[in-house]
Amino acid sequence: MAKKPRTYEGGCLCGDIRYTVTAEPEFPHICSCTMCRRWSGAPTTAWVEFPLANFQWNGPGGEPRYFRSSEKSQRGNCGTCGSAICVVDDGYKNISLVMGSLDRPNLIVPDVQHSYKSFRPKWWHPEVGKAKVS
Amino acid sequence: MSEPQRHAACQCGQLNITVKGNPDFAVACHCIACQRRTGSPFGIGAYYRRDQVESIDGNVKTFDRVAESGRNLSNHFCPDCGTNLYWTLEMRPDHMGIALGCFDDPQFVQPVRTIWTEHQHAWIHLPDDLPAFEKAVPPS
Repeated sequence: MAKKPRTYEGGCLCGDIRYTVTAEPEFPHICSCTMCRRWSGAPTTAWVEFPLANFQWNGPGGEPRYFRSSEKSQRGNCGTCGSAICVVDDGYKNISLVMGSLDRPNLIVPDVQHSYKSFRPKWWHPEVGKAKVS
Repeated sequence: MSEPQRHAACQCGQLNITVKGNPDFAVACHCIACQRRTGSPFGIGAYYRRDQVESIDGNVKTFDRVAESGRNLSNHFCPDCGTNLYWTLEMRPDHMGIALGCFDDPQFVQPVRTIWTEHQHAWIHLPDDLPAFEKAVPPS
């Protein structure tokens, strides 16, 4: 029998943006590309996808404020505190959430995929795919 | 020899900061707020003295909050793309932290310590010789 999916909740620093999703996480991975780096201000950003069909914004601020970061892609942040929240690609079935927005980011461990790995700070070595969910 | 000048910007390029000289230090922070503001497993700040800041250009929005240490901190971000480019803090009134990821070349400095490791993810391995603190360090 298929396991019932867990509910994941998250949001921004100030609480204006909140979300809930009940589904299996897809494609958890990290990315060190220049765009992610500049947007987040951090060396490497962690991502996880969920089906939009199972996803709801449920905070007082509604949806994030979107910025069109590339031709077919928008990045969402909280307009009040600036926190990074998500990427929504035009026509794609999933929403990509930054893992730092999850209330319990430890529930998901990134897979071995490290996009643009060579752009990471040379002194750090993420051990993705090796850790266990805590 | 002339001092290096460095430039950092938000993702959309609207908000820019130019600094001269090298940062006094850089810190990798795993606190929940740094994870939230960046969406990333940890943030890194390069700390410059205020008198090293040559210019800040562009519109900026500020979010004031109380840090996990209990001290006041203000995040300054681009109202267009959301990037939190820099922050000012009660703990270090003569400094500002600039998000290392926003620099044109973020490889120019390495952290001198890592803090709030009680929130560090198991899959992150920072250099063994990097001084690590479970919480914040006391103000020096």
